[in-house]
Amino acid sequence: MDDFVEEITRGNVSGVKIVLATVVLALAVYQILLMAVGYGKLKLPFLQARAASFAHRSIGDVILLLTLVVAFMCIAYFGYEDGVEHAAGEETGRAALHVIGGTLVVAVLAIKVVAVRWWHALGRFLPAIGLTLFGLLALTWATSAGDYFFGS
Amino acid sequence: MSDARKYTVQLVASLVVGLLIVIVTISIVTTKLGPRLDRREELRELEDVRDERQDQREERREERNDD
Repeated sequence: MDDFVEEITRGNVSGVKIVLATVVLALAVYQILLMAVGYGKLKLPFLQARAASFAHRSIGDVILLLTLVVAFMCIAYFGYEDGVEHAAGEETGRAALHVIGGTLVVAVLAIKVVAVRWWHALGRFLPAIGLTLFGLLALTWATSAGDYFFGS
Repeated sequence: MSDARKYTVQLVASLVVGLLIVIVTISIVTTKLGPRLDRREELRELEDVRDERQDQREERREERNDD
């Protein structure tokens, strides 16, 4: 499987992951803005709540797809234990945090999809689930792509 | 403008903004990462070097054990 990932990224697995994860984070920030308009917390004269909510849903589908692609690449190429084991010295903590954050992102994303599409009783928790998901995405990004950009 | 038309325009505009965010982010990040074309050959060479070193280490360990 790791050969397949290496082949489709032409050997730039980390680079492609960094680009996709940063796109996901940028879209996640936009999603918060859209949902603030959708819930009426932010009033914009040029954007109504209904349009903002629908755009949030569409962009959310894109984020879901991109996140699953990044997760697949990460697990298939680096693996769970290998990623932590290969991280040198002080990096082990960061790698462990990344693994935990990434796993929770996928779990919370699954809960959010279930709540939106099938389990409507969970609908009242959607703002909390969404903000938790954003926090976890930020943590996962900060411990990989963010560390690449701003780390020592 | 009718409500339905206004809704469509706002929705399309929101999605276009999302697309712009994607394009700008990819541009910024790829600029920061720099030109990296095909690294497969480089990775294979690195792997060969790593395997070679691992073999040497094991050989040395065996020699020490023999002594």
